[in-house]
Amino acid sequence: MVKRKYGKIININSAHARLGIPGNSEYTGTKGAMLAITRTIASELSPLGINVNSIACGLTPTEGYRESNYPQEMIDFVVGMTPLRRLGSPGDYVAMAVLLASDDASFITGQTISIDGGLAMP
Amino acid sequence: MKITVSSSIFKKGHAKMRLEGKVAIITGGGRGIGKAIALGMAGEGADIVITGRNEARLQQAEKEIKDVGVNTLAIKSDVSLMADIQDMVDKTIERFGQIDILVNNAAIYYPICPFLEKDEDSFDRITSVNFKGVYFCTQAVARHMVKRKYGKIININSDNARIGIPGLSDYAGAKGAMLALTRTIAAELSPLGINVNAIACGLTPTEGYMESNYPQELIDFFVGMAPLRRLGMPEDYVALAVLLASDDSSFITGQTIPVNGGASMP
Repeated sequence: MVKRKYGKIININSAHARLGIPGNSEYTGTKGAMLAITRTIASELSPLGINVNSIACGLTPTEGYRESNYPQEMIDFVVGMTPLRRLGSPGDYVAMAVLLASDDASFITGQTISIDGGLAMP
Repeated sequence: MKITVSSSIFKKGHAKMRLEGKVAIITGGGRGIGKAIALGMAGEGADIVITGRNEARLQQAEKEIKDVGVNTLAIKSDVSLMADIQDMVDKTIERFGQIDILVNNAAIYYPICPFLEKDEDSFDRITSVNFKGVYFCTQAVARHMVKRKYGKIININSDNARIGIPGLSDYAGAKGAMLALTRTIAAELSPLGINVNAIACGLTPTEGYMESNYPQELIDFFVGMAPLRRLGMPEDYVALAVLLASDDSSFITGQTIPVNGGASMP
């Protein structure tokens, strides 16, 4: 990307990066790391023409998530705390990803944008 | 749990006008960022209501928006006056019957002035437009939205809400209030079907900004700090505003999203 002075990098992060949710410490640690490197890499690469951003997804019942063992009480608690009162679905993240991948987002960099029904409002 | 994905967004060339059949109010839509957003939403098919204090500017903007091919209404209105806010809502409902989108864009600058020298007049003027105006425009419009269990509220915020920039204490305070209000109103209204979000704009040389007296050193400092190494342009905020106004953002609420070249990365 640097050679062509053009690129769009999109990290798929999680609400876990900003919220303390019990039982997932190493996963949240890695997502916190992603939050930090999104900023750092943006500050290094954006002067070279590359936009670096991230989407912090809410709890989304994908196949991968089904393989984990989220207790039902925690899911109910998360939905109750979420102003939009639902879990995410994969389609919820698409329009923002497309925007961040397009030249319409040329002035956006270093951001981790929460799409989580309002669970986290940094 | 059922996973619902809109199949329409996964077909190449699916693109249709995303705001067709919607009615959007953009306060301060006569120039600058507000006018750019109004034109962008018109391009996506929304009927547009713009408000502002300057009649000549409003008429010019109304003509440009009409030329996009949508129904347009310009209302002379000051967001700091409760009677004007009610008038804005009444005229919009009378003409279009509904309000789907509110963009709280109207705001004023005051000349840069050290905190220790600020006076009550500038404080009252700035907070009455930039905070009280947003507060009561949102309330008046949301009362309609709640009845239909549908609405998109977009607050135009600024980097000043999160970065300390000298000489702008009252402006920044009002923008910090907007940041908190965006979260609180989202927490209250999103369970009722309304999405409330904000765009935190970077320094943007609009006409309004030109009337302030930003010193060149401050501008240079800003551009140097922003990884993308430039100031904003009104067009930079349009695509995100359209996204937040559309049903593609139905799972986004309570967010204040910086579009600022990376000048702050909260």
